[in-house]
Amino acid sequence: MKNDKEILIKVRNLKKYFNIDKNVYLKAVDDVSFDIYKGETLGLVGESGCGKSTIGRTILNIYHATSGTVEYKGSNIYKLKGKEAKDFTKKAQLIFQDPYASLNPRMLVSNIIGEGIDIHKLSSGQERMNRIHELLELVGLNKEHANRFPHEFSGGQRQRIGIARALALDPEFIVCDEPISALDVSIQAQVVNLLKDLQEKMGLTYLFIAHDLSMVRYISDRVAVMYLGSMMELANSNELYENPLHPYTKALLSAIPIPDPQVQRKRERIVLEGDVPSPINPPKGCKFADRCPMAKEKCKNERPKLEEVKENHFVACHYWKEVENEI
Amino acid sequence: MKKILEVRNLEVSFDTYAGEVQAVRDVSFNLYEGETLAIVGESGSGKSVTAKSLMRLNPEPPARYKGGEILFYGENILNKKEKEMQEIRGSKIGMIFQDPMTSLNPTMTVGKQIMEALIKHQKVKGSKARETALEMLRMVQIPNPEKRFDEYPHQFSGGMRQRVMIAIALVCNPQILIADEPTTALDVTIQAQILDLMKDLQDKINTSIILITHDLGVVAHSAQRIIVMYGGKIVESGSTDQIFYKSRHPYTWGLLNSVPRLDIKKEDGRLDSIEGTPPDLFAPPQGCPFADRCEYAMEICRKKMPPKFEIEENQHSACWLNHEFAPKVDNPTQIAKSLQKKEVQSNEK
Repeated sequence: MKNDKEILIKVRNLKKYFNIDKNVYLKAVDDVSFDIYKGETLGLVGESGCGKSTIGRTILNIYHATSGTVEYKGSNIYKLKGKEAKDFTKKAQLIFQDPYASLNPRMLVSNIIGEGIDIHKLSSGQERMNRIHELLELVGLNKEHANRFPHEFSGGQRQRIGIARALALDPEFIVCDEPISALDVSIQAQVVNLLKDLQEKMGLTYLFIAHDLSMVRYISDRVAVMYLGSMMELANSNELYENPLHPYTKALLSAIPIPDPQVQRKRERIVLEGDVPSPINPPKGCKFADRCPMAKEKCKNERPKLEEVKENHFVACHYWKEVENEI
Repeated sequence: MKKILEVRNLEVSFDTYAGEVQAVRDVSFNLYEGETLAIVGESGSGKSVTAKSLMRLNPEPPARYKGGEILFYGENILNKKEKEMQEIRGSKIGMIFQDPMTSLNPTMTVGKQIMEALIKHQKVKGSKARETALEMLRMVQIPNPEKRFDEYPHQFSGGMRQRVMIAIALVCNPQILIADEPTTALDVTIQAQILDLMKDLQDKINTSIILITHDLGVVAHSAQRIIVMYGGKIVESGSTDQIFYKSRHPYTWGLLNSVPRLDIKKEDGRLDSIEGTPPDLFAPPQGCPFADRCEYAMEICRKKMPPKFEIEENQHSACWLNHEFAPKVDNPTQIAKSLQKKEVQSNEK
């Protein structure tokens, strides 16, 4: 499975520390490595503050990485210069969480979508307008919407405008940073279906960041679980949900209520005590050790590495075998 | 079960520059002692306005109570003066808000905020109030309550702040607790802690909870009865099992089908979305508010608001499909089908 897929993005030992005071660093992303294959959707889940959005932005070079590399089709994006660097910004795009804050209220929809086209001087005049109309129709809006302002649209429609903007430059890779969290349930489904259709049509690759694990399972081919800046587990989505090998993944999955009362009443929850520790001074050993029901002495002292323990199933836990046997 | 709250034909409008927004239209329901009633709906469906009306928390103006009554132990809340309302708020009816970051006072210690309600409503002295407030902090499982008592909200995490909010809401042992999206701003592992905590406390002090949410998983976990709202109206109501498995309203069907489930294997099918957007409440449609988005809509749906049809005991659905002359439509949701399958299997055995 693994070898016949082309790697589009290769992330190695990526670190992003934010300097918040003299010699005090917030370790938002702490030594993370993974690949994104061409044409797939990689889901990235975790609780707030675990660094999932920071990863998305660091991969796009919106945040400058503290160390580590991100390779796009074999070349390190942090070393790109001039035309190559500009080309990368065309090929990699971002869809934001908040459709109210991410569209400039003073700009016409046509200029919001066309901004990238202007910057890269792809077309102008009637040709540019035709392209904008085409994009609007692609995302399920219509031509007339081009001459309106963002406030005239509902949340779901605004998110469609955001998607049209991301598609304007024919990207190959899109980071979707919680694109549906701010939307109502019935509208969420519309936007997710749209993203799926576009992926099929245009062969897009997504990094889908979200905290709604049910939706992530639905949309992703593979899912990565983050905790406090580290990647804890990465596997095919069905495998991860049916056979989680990390105690954190297990607890996270069990905490999500299922919208089926008879099933939900029978479920047993693993309730985690306490809160996520501060990313400023994360624990020396495994970051989850303080809250982990299975933690032993070794976990407190030695940080486990993310290793491929089964085919396509990576986990960062010293005792994953015991987790597996427990099920 | 004892009825403690009765809402009859409630109508709430907001007067704005652009005109009158009819946020809540002809809403009626009961609340019984010790139960958890969930109000489910999308933004703009009127669920929060309905809940806030129970405490008269919608600022008047622009809010205007056009009609109906809210009977709390037989007394109409809508006729009460502001002074009388202050006696009820925080003492007989408590409320938890969605965002624990903005609904606590940042300039007051957490302990003081809990004591405030006690001193105001129960006229207890400082030291006694402090004791009760500490007891409350212990009850909502805040570690180190003696030390935390004198700290400010910014020193607490999101989950801890929500615990403080619950402590404030419950300190006077209210008969009703209104929880407006209490876990929406929290992470799932913290959400699980808070939902458990609310259930424990409910068992302890026998409060009725009105849970407002759009998360059907939370509803399945916590509620005994459900009200589904759409476009300012109640479209369906019933027990949790009735709504999830035997719903008779296309909007409820759409809602149930549009959420993916964690425990069901990923297939390459599409999610069933409800096309279109909710109605404009400046000029609500004269017929069923859902008619424009409903795939089963008939001519009458656009002309006349359907009455409440009784489906089973305690289950009501406002949809013309339940009329005896309407074409028969089966409940198309995955969840109903899976239940039928289970029932067939158990019958065969």
